Amino acid sequence: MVPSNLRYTEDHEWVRVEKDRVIVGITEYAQEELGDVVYVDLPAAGEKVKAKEAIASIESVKAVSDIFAPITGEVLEVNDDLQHSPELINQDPYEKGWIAEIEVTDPDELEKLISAKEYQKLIGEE
Amino acid sequence: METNNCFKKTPLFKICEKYNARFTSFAGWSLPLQFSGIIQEAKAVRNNAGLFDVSHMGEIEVAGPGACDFLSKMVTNNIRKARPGRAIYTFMCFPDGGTIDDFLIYKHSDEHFFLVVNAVNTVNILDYLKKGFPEPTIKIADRSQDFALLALQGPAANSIMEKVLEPNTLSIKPFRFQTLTWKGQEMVISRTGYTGEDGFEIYLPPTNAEHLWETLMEAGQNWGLLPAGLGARDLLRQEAGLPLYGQELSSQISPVQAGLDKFIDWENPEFSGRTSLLAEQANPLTPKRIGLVTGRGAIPRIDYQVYWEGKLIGKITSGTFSPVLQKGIGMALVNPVPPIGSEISILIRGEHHTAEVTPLPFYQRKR
Repeated sequence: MVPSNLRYTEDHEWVRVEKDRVIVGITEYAQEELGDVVYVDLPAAGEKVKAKEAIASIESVKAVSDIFAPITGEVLEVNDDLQHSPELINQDPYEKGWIAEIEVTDPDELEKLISAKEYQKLIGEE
Repeated sequence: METNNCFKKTPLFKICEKYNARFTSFAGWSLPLQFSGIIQEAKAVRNNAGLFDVSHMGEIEVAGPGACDFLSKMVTNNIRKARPGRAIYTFMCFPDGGTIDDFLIYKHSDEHFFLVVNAVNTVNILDYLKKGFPEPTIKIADRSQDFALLALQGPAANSIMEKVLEPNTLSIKPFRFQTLTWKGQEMVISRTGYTGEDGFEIYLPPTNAEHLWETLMEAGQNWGLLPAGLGARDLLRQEAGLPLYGQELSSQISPVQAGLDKFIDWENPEFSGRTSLLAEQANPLTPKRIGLVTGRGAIPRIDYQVYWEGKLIGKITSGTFSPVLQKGIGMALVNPVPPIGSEISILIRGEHHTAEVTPLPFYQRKR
């Protein structure tokens, strides 16, 4: 359940790189750990974010967790569907459960993201 | 699946694994946290039925001539008046009023009682009972190893139970229990629970536990029965406004503070903690438990600070998201106590979020 075409962070976010922008969400592993998501506090489009800073928080029945920006840049778009259907994060974390789209300002930052293989190792699913 | 070998396993551990449980450690035990998902399991219990493994609970047997008089000195509720066959909810308190534990006492007769206690407190209770100088005729024994405990909860629980026990019929009213033989071994069925729904708790020898689990799961198929874990159990008890030891009650938090005075028999002149509890009840500055609701984006969690009119009044003791209300719900221990309907605020990661003080329970089933 770790798609090989995506990059990852050690905080269990996935990153899809599309030219000058990235799309961010949380991994299957992360949604399993969180359990039923009941609310997502999203950033606003246009917000400037810094790598490793919290950009969103996810409330599950069990706990609240921060989502960190994988790169520095401007939030171009957020997944508004999550306002009414936060459970999309559980049902389809890699597609319909995406969280935000961020413009890339420093392409070097992308190199710091880990590969699917490395992420698999991190979660012990080699 | 993280299961540490240091943790004790219940007789139903293997079967919970088979039903794809995710495990968590609780009170020294490895217990199922969830199966299909906390919300789905909680909904099954509210609308159909859920089956829980709660075999970690402690069982203490108190038996012998004088048992009733002895226990009456130790616990807050009236066990003298109760008839045999009753399960009585009670507290045991330290002399300063702090809670040693909250539990059910099963009264078989004036000389024979079972205490079903929180696993973490079993040893403390045994110690405290022994300190109460029981007559030499009274036997106090930890029987926790001798029982598995299943909880079948939900509006369909009665139908499922009847199907399993056919052709025997079951007529147990709430807070009563019955001993019967199933597959050649004795089991005790009580109409009790920790979810706010109708249901049963079933005590039986560990060797029969898997068999009963499978029989109940099969019988419950047509009623939408799901296996349910501690996550759903905690959510359901919060919706029902029920306290959890260690959160709403503790050695620092008395039953009076938790607002559970109705389980204290003040006419009993001699139970442990009475003087302190009475003083607390009379003192207007005693902190009290309240219920509160929030929006779904500001779910109360344990230890969050609670403010009223700009002043810190206490802390959240339990909180979660309620699928029934579609809101955040929480309980808090506060002083002073804002009246029902007051607007208060909860400090969540540096920001104040509005909450409303509401009566407990948050959810009550239709009868």
